[in-house]
Amino acid sequence: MTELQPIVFVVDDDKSVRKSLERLIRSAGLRVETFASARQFLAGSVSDLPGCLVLDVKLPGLSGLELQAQMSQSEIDIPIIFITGHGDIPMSVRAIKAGAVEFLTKPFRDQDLLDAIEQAIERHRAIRSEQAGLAELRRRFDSLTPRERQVMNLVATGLLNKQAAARLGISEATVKIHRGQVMQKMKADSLADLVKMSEKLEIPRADR
Amino acid sequence: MKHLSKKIIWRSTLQFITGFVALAFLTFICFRSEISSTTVALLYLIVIVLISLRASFTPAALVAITAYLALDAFFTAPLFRLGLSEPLDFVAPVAYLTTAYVITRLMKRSRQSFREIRDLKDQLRLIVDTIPGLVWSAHADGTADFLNQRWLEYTGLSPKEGLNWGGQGFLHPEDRERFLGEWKAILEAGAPLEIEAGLRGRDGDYRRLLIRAVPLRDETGKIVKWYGLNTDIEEQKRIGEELRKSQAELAHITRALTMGELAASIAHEINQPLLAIVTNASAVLRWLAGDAPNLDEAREAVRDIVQDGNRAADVIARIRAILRKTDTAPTRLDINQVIREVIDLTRNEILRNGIDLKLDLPAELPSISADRVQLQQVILNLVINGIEALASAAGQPRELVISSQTDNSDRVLVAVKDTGGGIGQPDSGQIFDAFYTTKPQGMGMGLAISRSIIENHDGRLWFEPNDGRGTTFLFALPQYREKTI
Repeated sequence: MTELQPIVFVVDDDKSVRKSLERLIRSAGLRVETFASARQFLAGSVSDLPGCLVLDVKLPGLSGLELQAQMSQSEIDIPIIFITGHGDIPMSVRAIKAGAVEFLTKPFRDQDLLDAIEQAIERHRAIRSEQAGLAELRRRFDSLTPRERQVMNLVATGLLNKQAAARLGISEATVKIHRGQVMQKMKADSLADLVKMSEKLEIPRADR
Repeated sequence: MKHLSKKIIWRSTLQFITGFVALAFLTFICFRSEISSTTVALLYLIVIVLISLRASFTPAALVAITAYLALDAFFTAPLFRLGLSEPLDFVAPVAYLTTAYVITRLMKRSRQSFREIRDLKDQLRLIVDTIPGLVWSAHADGTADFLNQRWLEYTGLSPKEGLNWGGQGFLHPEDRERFLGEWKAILEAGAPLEIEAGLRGRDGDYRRLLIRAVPLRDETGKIVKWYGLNTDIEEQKRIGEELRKSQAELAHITRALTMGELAASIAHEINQPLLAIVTNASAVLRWLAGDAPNLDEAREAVRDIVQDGNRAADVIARIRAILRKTDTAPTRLDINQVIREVIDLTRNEILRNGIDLKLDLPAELPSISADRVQLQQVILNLVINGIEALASAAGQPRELVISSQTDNSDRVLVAVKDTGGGIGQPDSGQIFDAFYTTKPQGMGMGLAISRSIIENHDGRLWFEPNDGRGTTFLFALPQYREKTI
């Protein structure tokens, strides 16, 4: 699996600052997209790439913190690095609590920003890969027939083939065949693996 | 009273006896010598005059009568008998009594006026000695000829020492040269003297004195004498100094407060281009690093750095514009009066720095329309700048000239000229910029604010280097005009 080229978004209302940030980030070999306001960013930021957002706290209109809240609501999971001219502690605490990666006060050292960006991208990659794994599992789970899902469900909760057969009112041999299918389709190596997958998928346990 | 009259009676008696003895002696001599009656009458008259000069009328009159009786008895016919036979018998008593009366009368009056004069002299002496000031007078050439008691007490000198005193020894070393120079100039010009100087007291401490003197002239206008008064102004000086300090502190606090109010916005406005500059510069370093430096990108970034630097400068210009936005309450003003008010505030500073202040403020100047406090602030700024320029100019004549006039376009022009170190070439373009200063303690706001104020009044503020040393700051303001409604 080849790693996708990450992208950094910059939102700052000051053109000079925006331009200089874009240049600096570009000089570190990263792709950059800049926006003058939070609304512009929300309107244009449909990306399926790993990355992060460099965000000015004080923006005209929708502020940086407000944008952070809105992104969290819309389940946009790009990590945020805040930059501010005069950061006060309550403000930064609030931003960090809401999930910001870093809070930098202008003027900051270029390396600090680049380190923060790198960290944020790594974090985003981790989130993304976790999410990607889950999506794969769901796709596999979706390929199961209703009967196979029932079998997987029961087996994952720890029932023996015989017990599952009794529960479903089918023969033990049929359960065995379904179970084999499930293991194959879910690409599970062992029963323990299957149990883990079931947990990740948060499949509601069958009633005992 | 009784004692007094007794004394008078006794003294009168004595005077009469003196006269009587003199007459008796004279009569004896003349009678033996057979001197003519006319001569004797004359000699008697002399005795009466002499007695009258010392005595009161009564003994003098008695002597006069005695003289007449003696003359009549011993020198006019018939001898040894009283009787009015010769013309001299009639003339002598009248002449003697008249003489006695007139002379005693005159002498009484002269004694009285003498007493009055003496009393007045004592009184004046008392006033001059008790007046709270060092009073003195000097000859036309400036050498002392009178010093009052306080003067002697202050210096601890005897009158003789005081009169021989040249002045130098007691003057504060810092004031000596200036004082003597001025005193000499004043003696030549014959103008009133008013100068401050430190004078050493008998305890060795120096106190500030205000020394003032005026010349006395005769009918031809020649100076005969100088009369002077030195007033101890140490206390006023101290209070003035404290006041000046608090004023300076207040001015400083006011400035700091003003800037404090603006600090956040100024910091932010300047931080933005600063961040851009730093970030761009970091990017340039990155573009230039490595084996294949990206010159195009670097060039582009440097171009932006220049732009952002200019932007920071524009921010400062904007701050000036904000400061210019003040509500003015223009009134009709006499610029000369405003100048004098400022001079009153700074006189101490001018004196302290040994600066020679010259005012050229013609009375016939049109009035202007301006906010008094703001205009004072401008003049104050220029004067203080001048003082500071002069204070740092060592070994040079320190001269500050403030003049007002109308210029070619009928504007009122004020010039503040100093003989200080002048403005260096690199500073000349920036001295009106906010926060630009050449002084270690300076805020760099003075001239910027001054220019804003003058421009707010539709005027112009600029400076010109002098032909000789130093700089002249000028501003021109339009004349006052009745507002058309």
